[in-house]
Amino acid sequence: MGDAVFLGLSYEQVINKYKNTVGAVCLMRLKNWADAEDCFQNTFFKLYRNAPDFNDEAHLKAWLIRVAINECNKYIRKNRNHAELDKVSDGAVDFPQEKCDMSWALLNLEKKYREVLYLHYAEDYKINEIAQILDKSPNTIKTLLRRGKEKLKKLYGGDGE
Amino acid sequence: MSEFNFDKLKNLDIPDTWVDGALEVPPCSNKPPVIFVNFKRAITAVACLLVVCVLSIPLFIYTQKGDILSVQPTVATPTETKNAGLNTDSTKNTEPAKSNEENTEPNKTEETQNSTENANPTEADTETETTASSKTESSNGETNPDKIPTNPQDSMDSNPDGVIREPDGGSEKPNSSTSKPSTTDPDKIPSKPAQVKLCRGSFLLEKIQPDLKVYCSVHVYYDDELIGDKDLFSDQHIADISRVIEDAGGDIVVAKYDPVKLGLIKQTEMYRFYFYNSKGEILFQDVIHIDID
Repeated sequence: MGDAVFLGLSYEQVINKYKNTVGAVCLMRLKNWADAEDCFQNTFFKLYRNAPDFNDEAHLKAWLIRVAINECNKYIRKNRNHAELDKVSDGAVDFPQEKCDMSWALLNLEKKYREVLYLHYAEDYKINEIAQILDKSPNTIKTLLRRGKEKLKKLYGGDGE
Repeated sequence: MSEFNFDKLKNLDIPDTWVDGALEVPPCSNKPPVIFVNFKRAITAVACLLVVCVLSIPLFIYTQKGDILSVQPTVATPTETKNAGLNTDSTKNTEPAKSNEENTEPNKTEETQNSTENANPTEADTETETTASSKTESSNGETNPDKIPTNPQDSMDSNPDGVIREPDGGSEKPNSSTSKPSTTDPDKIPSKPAQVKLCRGSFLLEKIQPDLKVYCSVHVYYDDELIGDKDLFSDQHIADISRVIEDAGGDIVVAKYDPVKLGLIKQTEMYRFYFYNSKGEILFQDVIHIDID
């Protein structure tokens, strides 16, 4: 495995470079390690099989995030009749509540805010870029960002800075 | 802009098993990768298309057939005379089409044969009642219109008083010389088509009063195309009055129109002709087969 090359990087190198990003997106969506693993692997499988042409690494990263989100959505739809993933305790993601780190609070937000906040604050994407990745309008992203911040502050109980 | 710290999420410790699993790409099936297709939408679109096609084909066929069948006269619209004043037993010159159309297709040869006979004046001398009184329906064997005189003078000579003699049982409408009902056997189809070149019709005299002008227009049967001048009241469409037959119910006018002589007919074809007055009221109509060979 490693015949495919993406912008000069081998398949394995791409996995190692973007595993945290893809893993975080999957975890945020599913909040479950076991489920996130499946979607994580499926994301990279798609990369390998489709082998699309990328303009640059930013394009590659955005593509991986988008595919990861789609895989998670597909997984959720497929398992709609099962217990809600948020309530699954086995393998659930649980970050310790810390003052400095808001990861635990992020996972307790509604899922529509989680990605926007993560992509903006953790991956440093701009609003227009997030809009393209999530296939939403920039105004929607702005609104989600603003509301997400307010909810985060409420959860945190103080200033996020 | 306030900044939130998501370091733990950002720097997740992704297990090595995840990476190993991602490296072991399962063999892909022989099917090509499925491009995302919204099957529901595609199926709905195809179904809608099928429904539209299924509905439009009979509609199209119906409209085509309707065009063929609807041969509406362009002369006048609502005022077909019904010969209200006429003795219906004797003449009915406003609905020739109905019966004549019945004759037209199945008895086409019969009509042409009759027309040929009509064109021959020798046989028509003594039958003065044919044009005015006899039916054109082949189903009615009571009429005998096969002796329509082409020479009005001849017919007048043979019937100097100009009185129509009704056939037994009476005819329901006057026939034109071009369309002749079967004389004795309605089921008999003549084998040899007769040549018809003259349009004839009969109607009440009062319908063309006071100017006593009769017009005739000839149309191709299948597509209702008008032959000749588009001005339906031009000189080209003026028809001749062959004779006037006195009748108790109102005098009958026999008109004739020769489109072949006027050079209007260029090909052997089925034609429909209308006689009409200055007001555009249709006085008589019929279908003929004109053979110009």
